[in-house]
Amino acid sequence: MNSVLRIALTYFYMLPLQRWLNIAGLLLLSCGALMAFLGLPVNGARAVFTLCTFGVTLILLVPSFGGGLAMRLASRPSIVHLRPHGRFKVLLGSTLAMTLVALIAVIPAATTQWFIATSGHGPGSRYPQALETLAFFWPVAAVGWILIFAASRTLLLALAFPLIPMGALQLPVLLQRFPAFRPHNLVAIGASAWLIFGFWYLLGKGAKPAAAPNGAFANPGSGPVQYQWLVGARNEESGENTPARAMACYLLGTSSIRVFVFTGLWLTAIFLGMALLIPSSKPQGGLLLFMLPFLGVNSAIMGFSAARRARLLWLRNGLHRNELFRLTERIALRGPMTTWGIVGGAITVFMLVTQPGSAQTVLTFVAAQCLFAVCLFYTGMALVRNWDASDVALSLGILLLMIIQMIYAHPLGGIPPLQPLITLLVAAVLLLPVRWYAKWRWAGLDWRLIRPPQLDWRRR
Amino acid sequence: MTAAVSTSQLSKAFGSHFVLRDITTQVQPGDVVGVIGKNGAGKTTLLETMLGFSPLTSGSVQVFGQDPMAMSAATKARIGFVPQQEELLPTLTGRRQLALNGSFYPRWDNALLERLAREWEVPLERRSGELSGGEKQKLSTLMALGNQPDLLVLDEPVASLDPLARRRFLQQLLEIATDTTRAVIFSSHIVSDLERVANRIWILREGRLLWDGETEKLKQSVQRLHINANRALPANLGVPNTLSERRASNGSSATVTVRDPSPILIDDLAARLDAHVESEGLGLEDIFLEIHA
Repeated sequence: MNSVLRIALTYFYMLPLQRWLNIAGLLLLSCGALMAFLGLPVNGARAVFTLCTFGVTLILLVPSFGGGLAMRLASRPSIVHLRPHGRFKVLLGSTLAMTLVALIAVIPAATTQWFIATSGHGPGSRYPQALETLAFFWPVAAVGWILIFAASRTLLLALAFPLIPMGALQLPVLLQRFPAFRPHNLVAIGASAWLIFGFWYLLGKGAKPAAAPNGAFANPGSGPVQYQWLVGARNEESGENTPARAMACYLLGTSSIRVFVFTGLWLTAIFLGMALLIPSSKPQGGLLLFMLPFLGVNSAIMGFSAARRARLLWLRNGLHRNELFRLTERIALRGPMTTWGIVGGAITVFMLVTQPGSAQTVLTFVAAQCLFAVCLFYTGMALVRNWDASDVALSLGILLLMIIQMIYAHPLGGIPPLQPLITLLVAAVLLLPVRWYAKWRWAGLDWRLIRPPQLDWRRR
Repeated sequence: MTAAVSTSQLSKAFGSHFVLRDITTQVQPGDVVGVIGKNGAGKTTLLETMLGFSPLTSGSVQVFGQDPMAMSAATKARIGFVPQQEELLPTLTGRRQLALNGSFYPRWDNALLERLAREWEVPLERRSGELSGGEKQKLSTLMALGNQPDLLVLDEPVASLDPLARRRFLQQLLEIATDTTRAVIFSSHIVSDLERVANRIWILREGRLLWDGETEKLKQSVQRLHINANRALPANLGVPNTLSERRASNGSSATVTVRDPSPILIDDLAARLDAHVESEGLGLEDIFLEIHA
């Protein structure tokens, strides 16, 4: 039983970053709970709900989105075959972890309802009930877990990633539109899916290894052979051998822009497809704009990865840290901004066609998000201290800004005209200091502290 | 002649934990330096700090007379480095990687690499992601040799090689070493290999340089004394510079490993303990074990 409990808890601290996420999450949760306990009328139930929701989101970010992948990684033969009842324990531990995810997700609803009941502030009907929330989250967690487990075997994991926030936002709308998805039906669907998955897991041949455990840091084209033509990996063998090409290969894993164009087109197809197929968001396409801040995370990951991969150029191209910084930003920013440009451009055109009246607001919003994505790139480049307190403070600061501007963007209710302008100004003011800070940190960049992501990959 | 590497009081800490302490040494052209130490002794940190991958905490390092954090392009072009963890691009073939790497250097010897690749049996036509651990290591070494470096730094370059490949690799290293304008620093846990090729040894323990000197001198400086007395030996044998001491169950025999024994030590011990004392020279591996005993 101890080992099952240990496996379950591991999902909540498997990454070093989770320690900080958990601390920040617990802090926010405590604030929310304290407000509820003291019955403080500041902003009423809304404040309690918002604080608890952000706290819970931070704690559940990794286990809910990474649980399926982590379960596949934990199903290596060395873990499940060499230990008595290994598979059974991993399955039980994962079930427990998933249930914990659902129970923690209930906290905001439960705390808010308790606050309303004891203090009498705010209408209880505006906020979800605890049991309803549990009945919603448990099956969603179960099905999501299974889908990510399945997708982690192939390149689909990377391709399916944008579907997760989009799906999470659309799910309540879908459930409202289709009455068959009532809470008790949902629980039945989730439980059945998990049972079938559990039987397969226990009785099948065993889980195969994950295709790309290093996710976003993998070299483009290092996935299964059959997909490589998509990202132009086969073209890398032709062409001139120049330092420019070599530097791009070392920093990005490819000298071709094709993989970034492909990602942009893929994301555009998903976003526009969902906006057209599910015409429930009001105003139409408002949800699309809401996806742009998420897209900025891609830039942060690229900056983070480039800082590590720049080690590969240190002895090769003869540049000092500062010159290497400038070279890295020049080469590495190109990739995520190509992706961003394609998606942002398509969304802008869609919005201008469907809502010509709000053209100015839309254009300002898109420009602000574009600048914000560049800020996030430099934030990624500045995270070079192996998640010490300064790295964590910077990440949390940027995360907070992102959350604030997302609350202000309020996509489902339309964007107030002044707010994108404020975001644009904030991003513009932020850009130079963040870049300066990243450059300053690079002066003492220590590649013994941060190493390039595992470049190794072998065909399976 | 400018030293290839010189350090003075070099210390390196991560937070409050010191990984390297007060390391002062020099590597001259023509030196082949073998670095040994237990896991976590600081070997990789030392090599990477010397090359500017990691800023030092205090002291100083110079590579060909320059601060490694601010080395010129010309100085960097004189360095070849094989990291402990290979840093190849898995989607490219070995040949393509060699060619791309060569584009950085003004003097890149393709003919040498083609010859070595044939001798070492490195399949250059295959993508490096498909190579075995040993093949990757050989390819990494080829990439470090292509620019005909004046300073070659190898961090455990033979860990994944089979004995045959190791021998070929070491032969090549000896060829390089015979060129007196070049310096080689390499770390390895296979001490017998170091013994074969290194003319200098660094022994690191807990971040300190315990030994820095010629291999032969090190071997001469450590001796094992076999003491067989006619009566029980006293609790304290009184042997200066003892590294380790083992006693037989009969109480009248002991084996003592000493460092820098004086010429009269054996005679003195024999007389004082009424014993027959024999001395034995040790190989590098035994010395390493004795030092860490």
